[in-house]
Amino acid sequence: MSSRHNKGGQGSNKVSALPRYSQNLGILGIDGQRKLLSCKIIVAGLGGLGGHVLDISARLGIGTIAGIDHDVFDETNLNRQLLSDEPSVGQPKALVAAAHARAINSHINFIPIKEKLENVNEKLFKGAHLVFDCLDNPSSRILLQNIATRNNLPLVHGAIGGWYGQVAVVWPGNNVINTIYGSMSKGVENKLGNPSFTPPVAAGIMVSEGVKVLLGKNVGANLFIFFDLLEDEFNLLKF
Amino acid sequence: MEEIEVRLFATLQEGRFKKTKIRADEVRTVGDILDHFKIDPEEVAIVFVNRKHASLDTEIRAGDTVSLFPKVGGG
Repeated sequence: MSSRHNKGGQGSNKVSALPRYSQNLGILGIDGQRKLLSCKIIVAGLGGLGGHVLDISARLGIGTIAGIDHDVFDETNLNRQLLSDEPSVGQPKALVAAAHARAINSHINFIPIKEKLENVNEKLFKGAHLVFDCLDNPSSRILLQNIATRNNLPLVHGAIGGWYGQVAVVWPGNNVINTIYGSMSKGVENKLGNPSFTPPVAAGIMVSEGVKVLLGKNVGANLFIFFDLLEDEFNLLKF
Repeated sequence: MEEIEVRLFATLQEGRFKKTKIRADEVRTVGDILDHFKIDPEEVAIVFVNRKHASLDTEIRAGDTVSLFPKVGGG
C-alpha cells in the first residue's frame, strides 16, 4: 500500500474528494471504493489479457497490484497487447507495466515481478484477496490454480482465442482449470490467433467479476462465461 | 419423441452444427454423444449439462441440454 492509503479515516475523506474516482462511486459507493483501495490482487501474465486487467484495475483504484511476467515484448504482441508499443519491444513486460501503472494512477502500489510463475516466492500471495489468471499456457494455469487453492484465494480465470473468450470465477478447492487444461490438445488460439478486440472484452468481464468477488456483491457459485463475438453470443454456466 | 439438445460452441461447430437434437434412447452418456457425432474427445475441453459442469461420463436423459466447448487458452 502506498503511504497515502494508510491514514485511516483521513483516507476516506480523501477518497470522496478525489476527482479520479468520482465516476466509480455510483456503483462502488465510498465504502466500496475504500475497500478496493485496501485490496491486493495478483495479475499473473501481463500480455493480452493481463495488460488490460492491470489497466482497468489501476484505473478502478485497486490499492495493491502485483503483476507477474518473465517475458519481454516482441513485435507479435503489438496487434493486441495494451502495454506494448514500438519503443517497448525488447523491454520486460513487468517493468513496462510498472511504468504504465504509475503513469495512470500514482495513488496505488504496483509490484512488478519479472519471474516465471514457478519461480515466484509464494509469500507474494499472502495477504492477497484475489488472483487473476491471464496466462497463456496450460501448465502455468494449473500451477496458478494450485497456488490459489493453497492460499485459499478466489481465482478469476480468463482465456481468449480468435473471436472467442471465456471467463471463470473459481473458488478455492475447485479444480475446473485442471479439467479444462489437463489434456494435451491445443487451444483454438493456435489456429485462430488473437485479434485486438477479444482481450479487452475478456479482461473487462474478468475485472467486473473480480470486483464483485472483492466487494461480496452478487457473487454466486463457480461461474463460467463463454462469449462468441462472431455470433454475438454470451453464455453463462455454472460448475 | 423424447430428445436431448446438443449445442456446439466456437470451432466445434465447423463442419458440424450449432444446435441439434438427438433421440434420447440413442445415447446414455455425454461420451456417447461425442461418438454419435464423431467428435474427438480431445477437441472438447469442457462439458455442461443443463448449464452445470459435467463430464464425458455424465448420464443424460430426455429433455437435457448438452453444451460442448473447445479448449481456449490464449492470454
